[in-house]
Amino acid sequence: MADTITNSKSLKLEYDFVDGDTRVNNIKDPNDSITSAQIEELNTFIRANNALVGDKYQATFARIRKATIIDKTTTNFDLN
Amino acid sequence: MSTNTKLSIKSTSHADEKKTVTDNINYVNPNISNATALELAQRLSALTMNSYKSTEKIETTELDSIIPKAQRTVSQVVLRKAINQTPTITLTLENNKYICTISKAEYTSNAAFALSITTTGNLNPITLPKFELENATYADYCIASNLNVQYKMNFIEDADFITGTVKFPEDSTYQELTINLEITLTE
Repeated sequence: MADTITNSKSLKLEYDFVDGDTRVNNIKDPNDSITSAQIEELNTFIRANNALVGDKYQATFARIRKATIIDKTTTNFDLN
Repeated sequence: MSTNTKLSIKSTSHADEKKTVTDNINYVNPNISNATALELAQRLSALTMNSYKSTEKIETTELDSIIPKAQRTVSQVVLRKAINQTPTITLTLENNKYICTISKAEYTSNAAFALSITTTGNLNPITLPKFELENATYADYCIASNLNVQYKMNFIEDADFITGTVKFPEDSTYQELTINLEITLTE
């Protein structure tokens, strides 16, 4: 059996909350064509609707501090 | 105790239309309306290559507590439901009884609930906590792992609350238990 190679992509969204903590959500199979304007729109929507809160103290969402598309290649080696 | 509300977004895979992709979005404000939750899910889905199918809002409350063996015999669980309001879940330990209350929820009379118990020691099927429930049907437990057991129950039609008793066998050896009450809202 030969080595197997798989690829996966995800969009990593890192949030700042007013309690100072950073929290993360990952979304599978992002579009390659995502723009910073789209992330900014999402940021505006979340803030305007208070759609996310911190898990322990219900801290208010501050902003999306970083959005990253992660392109991961995994190789499983055939070791017989 | 900590509470987390998440959105479970289901989409059809762009690579294989027979496959469903699930994204779990944590830290959702439990007080947002279902319309706002739905819009958030659709906005996030629009950033992906997959085709949006549906969203579930899931709320989990965890309570960590050490239960002395002498206090492990009887606990009480009360699940309540109300109609057309935003869901909140509280889980407290009072006088050796667990009181679980779900209120302000929007769900149908046959909404499903999953109650799971996690322990620091291995679960023994003989000494698992047993539930005695009113106003609900109770399916057999399933052991998700050697540290986690899940119970699923459904409201009997027209019932607006579940009252139940949790009994920990005298010979059980659990030193620490976490009770997770998870409610899945479907519309």
